[in-house]
Amino acid sequence: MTLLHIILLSWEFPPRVVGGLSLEIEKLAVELAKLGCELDIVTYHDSLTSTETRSEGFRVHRVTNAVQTHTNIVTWALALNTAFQRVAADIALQSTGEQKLVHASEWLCVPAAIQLKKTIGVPYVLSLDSIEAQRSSGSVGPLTGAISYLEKEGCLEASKVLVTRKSTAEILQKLYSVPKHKVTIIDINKERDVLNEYETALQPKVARTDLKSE
Amino acid sequence: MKVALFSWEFPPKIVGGIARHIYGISRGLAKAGVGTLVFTCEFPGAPREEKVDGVRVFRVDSYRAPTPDLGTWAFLMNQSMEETAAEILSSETTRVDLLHAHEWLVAKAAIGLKHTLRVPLVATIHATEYGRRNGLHDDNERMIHQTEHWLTYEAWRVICCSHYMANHLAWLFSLPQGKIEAIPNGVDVTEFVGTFNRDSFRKQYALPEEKIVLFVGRLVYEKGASLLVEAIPRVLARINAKFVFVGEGYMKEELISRARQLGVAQKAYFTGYADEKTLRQLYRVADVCAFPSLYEPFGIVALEAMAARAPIVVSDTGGLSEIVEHDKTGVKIYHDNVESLAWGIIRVLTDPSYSNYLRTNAAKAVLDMFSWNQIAVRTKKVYEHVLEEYEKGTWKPPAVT
Repeated sequence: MTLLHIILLSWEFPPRVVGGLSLEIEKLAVELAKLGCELDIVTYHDSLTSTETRSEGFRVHRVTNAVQTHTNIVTWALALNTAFQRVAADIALQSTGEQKLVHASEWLCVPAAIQLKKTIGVPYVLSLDSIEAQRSSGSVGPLTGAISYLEKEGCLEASKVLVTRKSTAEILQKLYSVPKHKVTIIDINKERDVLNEYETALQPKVARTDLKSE
Repeated sequence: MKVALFSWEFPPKIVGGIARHIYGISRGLAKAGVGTLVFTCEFPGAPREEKVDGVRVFRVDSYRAPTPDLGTWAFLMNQSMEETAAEILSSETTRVDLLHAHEWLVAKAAIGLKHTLRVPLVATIHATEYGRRNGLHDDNERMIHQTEHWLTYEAWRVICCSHYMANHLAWLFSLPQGKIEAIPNGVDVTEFVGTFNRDSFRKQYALPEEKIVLFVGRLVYEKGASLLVEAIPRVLARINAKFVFVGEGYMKEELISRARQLGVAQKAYFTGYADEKTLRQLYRVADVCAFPSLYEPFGIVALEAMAARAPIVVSDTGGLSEIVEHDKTGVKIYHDNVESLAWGIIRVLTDPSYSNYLRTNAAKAVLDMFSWNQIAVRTKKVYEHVLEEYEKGTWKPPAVT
């Protein structure tokens, strides 16, 4: 088995628990470390900003948002992603030898993942629990448009898109024209399956496939 | 040395003063031997990529998704700008030594690239949200203010246009003085030459026997137009003149009615906005330009008047104070003082040899200190200092393998 260096971006990680994602990501991290992955979590916290080395064998880097006041979630996420990007870039640039991969969780981490891919050439997989069209239930407001744009860009630039439900996979293909072969329906609790997806994502044949080519 | 400039506007997209600044400084830098790239927003009809006077310009698709307001648009545009720049700047042939961001509108892109490319970032702050709004009043203004703060924090050096602004930035963003450089704006004197029919142009604004006193600026409190209206009767007591006010603002009606009250309505002409060509010709037919600002971060109008060889009377405040040398390149008057303003105008209008002396000195000063070539050379010096410090450190891009 290849030794992977995973940089996992998530907007929530314990002790910050907003929804179900936080604990799910923590469980995945613990299991991936057991499987021998080198793992860095980059996440958000306003006061616990530092690096924590967990006894399970991975590190958690918590960053704050340089811009504290925001008028909506999109500007908040975009500004925060620059901090994610800074820390992830430092990790990737100092990492030696192993194959590096970013795992971005939800559209909230897409901006950083795209920039890391484009400047330092680290590919990424994107996991989506739900997509904007499902959450906004038909709203066509400008904020929904901006989020959908980032989500779509995130899917098209990703080496792999991991979703939990068949319905989500179908919407991705229909709404964002994401090529079918790029999308995998997966139970994120099954760490071996996730690892398998990471390894697939790192194979050179998986490159950006945009709208026109399929 | 190679630098990438970031600005949301660049000709033909001209929204405010930044476009002209980037145009002037990028050409100046290229002339000074700095390989210069500009990343900016798209504009209908302008090519996505072109070379302008030795400068490589890249225009970014900036409307990829709908956004509810300017702040959201700006942040999302930054994502696109950074993606475009990332592809170009990480290629071996177009990599740069420095990034130079202008204003908060490009902060995110430039800061992101700084950390992924690991090259130093220089920022120019032309104006602050706090200064523009006279305080911070809502979340949108606070967001912009904090983004400005973030940019100055991440920058290796912060450039601003005057010592006055340097103090303001040091106070507002808690910046160490050693991190701030004051480099003035520039002006292109060649824009103020060329022939035109002076008499017929002048006739649209004043009678042949009237001297022209020109004011250019927004008709708002801080620009001091009301002081100039108050000074009209005092000046007219000594010499016949027409007071031409170019610009718009919330005080316009009030100024017109005050001129009427003072009985000088026929001597005050409010033109509204003037296009660039008309404005340049107005400067050239003016017998004196008066800028009695109460608050002025820089005062580009003073430079334009100097370049057009019009004698200037300015209040001794902010950036104006630094541009003008009293009794040499212009007349400085006391801040918020009508008597002093009237005195300055009369002094220039009643003494032609003094007036000629001022305009000759001012035109020379513009060439010596405020040409874009000079500004570019000073900016290049800042780059050199930054690179010198950078070379000594360990923070570098990974070795190319």
